[in-house]
Amino acid sequence: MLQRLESAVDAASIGLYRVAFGLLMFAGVIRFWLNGWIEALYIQPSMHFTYYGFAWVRPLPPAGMYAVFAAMAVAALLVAAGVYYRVAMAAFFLLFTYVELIDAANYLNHYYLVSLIAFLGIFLPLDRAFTLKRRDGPAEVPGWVLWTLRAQVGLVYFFAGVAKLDAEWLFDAQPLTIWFAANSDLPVIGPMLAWSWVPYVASWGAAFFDLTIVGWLLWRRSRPYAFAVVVVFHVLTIAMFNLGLFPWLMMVNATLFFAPSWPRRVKPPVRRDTRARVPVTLLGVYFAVQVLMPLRHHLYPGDAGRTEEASRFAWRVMLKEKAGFVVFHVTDDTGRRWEAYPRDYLSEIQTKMFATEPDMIRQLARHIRDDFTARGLTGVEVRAEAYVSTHGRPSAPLVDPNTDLAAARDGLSPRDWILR
Amino acid sequence: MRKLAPLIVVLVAGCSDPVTQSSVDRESLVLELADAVIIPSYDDLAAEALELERATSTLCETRTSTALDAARIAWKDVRRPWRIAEAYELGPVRDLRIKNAVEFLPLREDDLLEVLNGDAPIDATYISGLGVAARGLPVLEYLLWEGDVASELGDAEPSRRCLYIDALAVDLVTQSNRLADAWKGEGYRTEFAAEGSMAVDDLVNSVIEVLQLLEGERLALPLGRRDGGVPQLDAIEVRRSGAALADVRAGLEGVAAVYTGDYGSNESGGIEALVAGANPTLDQRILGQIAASRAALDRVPEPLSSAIVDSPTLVEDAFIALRALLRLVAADLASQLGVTTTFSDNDGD
Repeated sequence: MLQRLESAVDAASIGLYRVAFGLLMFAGVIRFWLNGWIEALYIQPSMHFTYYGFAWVRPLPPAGMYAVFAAMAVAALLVAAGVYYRVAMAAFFLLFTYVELIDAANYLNHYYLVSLIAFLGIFLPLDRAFTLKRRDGPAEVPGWVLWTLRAQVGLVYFFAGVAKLDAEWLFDAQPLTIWFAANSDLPVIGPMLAWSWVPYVASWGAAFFDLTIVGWLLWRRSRPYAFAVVVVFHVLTIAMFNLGLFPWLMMVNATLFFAPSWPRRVKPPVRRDTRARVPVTLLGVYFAVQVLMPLRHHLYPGDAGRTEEASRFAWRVMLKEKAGFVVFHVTDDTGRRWEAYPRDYLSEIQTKMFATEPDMIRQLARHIRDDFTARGLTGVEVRAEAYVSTHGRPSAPLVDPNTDLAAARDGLSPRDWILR
Repeated sequence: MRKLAPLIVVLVAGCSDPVTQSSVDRESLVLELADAVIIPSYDDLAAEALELERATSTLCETRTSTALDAARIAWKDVRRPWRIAEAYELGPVRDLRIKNAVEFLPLREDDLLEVLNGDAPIDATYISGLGVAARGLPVLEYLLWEGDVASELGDAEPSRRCLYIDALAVDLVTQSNRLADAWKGEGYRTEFAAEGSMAVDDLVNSVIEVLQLLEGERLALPLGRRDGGVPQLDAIEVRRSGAALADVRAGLEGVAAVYTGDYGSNESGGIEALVAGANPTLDQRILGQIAASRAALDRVPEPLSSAIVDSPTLVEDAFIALRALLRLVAADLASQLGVTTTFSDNDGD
């Protein structure tokens, strides 16, 4: 096994993957810019939700944020071209991850995946083929390079599948029943989505797809059909959901499971005698983290889908349809009372995202306390009236309305003020 | 696989009835809502604006207190369809900048006084060239109620104030006709309905926005719930005319119209058609809360400014009822329909 990983393989597939990844990221940055999201997500909001341990990450002034995105676009193009590759990939990773760390309300699973691939790409020689830079030597990479990327993508599918092994997903066909109903006016497939059994078949099918697709893609005989399924699956998600780059990224990722020489008409000879040691320790640590992160929600009591504790960085992709309502009740040491509304502090996207996330509710409570304190009030306490409804069920309180959330401590331990 | 085929056929045949929620075509639903609620309410707005213009025209001709009273009543009558339509403040009302032309808040007294104290002839061209702060319903309210209006209507000739009032009413007719026309036929009605689910999302979001306005800005704010418990009577939007409570009631009627699809004698499915079959309990809860809010508002004595001082508990009750309705819509309904409760289209998962 180890010997096989150490053997050289054609660098064509990962070279082309790098080109596609770089171009996709370039398109993503341009799309972000043209849609005005730099302004809307990083410049306009008066506060940002931070990640534990990364509260020090702050947005730059407007010109700085635009410069960051411009630099990210250049870096993505250089990655695609394979020119100054490692520097470009490192720059892209740092800039992209910096932007993602600014505001937890903007967290998306595929942004996290992009950061991980970019991180791996700094160390993996993805520039041995399809590069504009003049290269000497054969276009080969050690097998473990390709398998590292495959393992990363495989983990995404696998844990996304594991997360679907849930009673609501499988036996109530939720949230697909709701989402399909909302898409029943789509041309051609819309009427089919309205059939009552379709969400059930799709729920089971999606779980099966996620859990097994890597195997089907790796098996040479099933690969063309599996890739066709990948394309159909992701094209359907494009039609039904507003998923941005995610489906395109996953279609590109699926090509990693093709034979290493698939982009070539003629398979070149590979030097079977060359060996490159597998960095077992480094990869072991990296993948141990990647396996443990999606499992860490078992350390927290209650339904992770409701408490949202440990739900990020865990490939819990599109599992719930939730909506929330939050109002804050502020008091000072004289006993006076105020109501504070999230919309007075947050952008529209932040308002939507935070309303179902207890930790963000806590962060906003703290921000409101600071705001009222800055107005000259003393002994400010902030409590939340927060309700969440999942899949149309009656909304229920999400946090303890008697807890002063502004005083609640940050941390990774389970929060006793979340109503589980 | 061959052995499984009959099973699959049975499964398909047995389950092929569409679920009620899904069987509602959202484009048709929005079209029907536009025909039953949205367009008729804009027609009502145009008709009431015309009545107001007639009343202000009479006011300038006769300059009597009776005519003034009639103009004031006509002004209040215009507000009803305007406030109802706040529940679907989408498309032309914003795109054609009609919203601000009809209602720019907060009122800027300096802007209207500049017109009042100026010497440029007041006619339609002059009015259309004014900024939105010197036009619309809030300015009309000021001119119809502020000070000793009856004595400022003019003696032998209508005063500049009277001419200003009449010209604003004419402008209101123009704006409301533009709005109604923009929706009709193959206009925005068709364009909006073609968005299907997105149109439903927009409607639900618009209802959430208006409920936030009703409970947060029009009741909680004057009640003092946002100011340490100290009532803020100056925060009442239309305090001169005493129309604040009527505004809140009309706003709630707009919410009810979007949800039920009913307006006056017109009936359509409304958003309720998407909920009733799939989640009848939620449907009943929403209908019940609309009724409870309506009843609570009806118990509050006019005007709101006095009620806040004399009967704060009744105002609180109305606020609490509207808050509960907002929660039902923003959380339960949004979750039931998979509504994206935002206007941003940033990537999903």
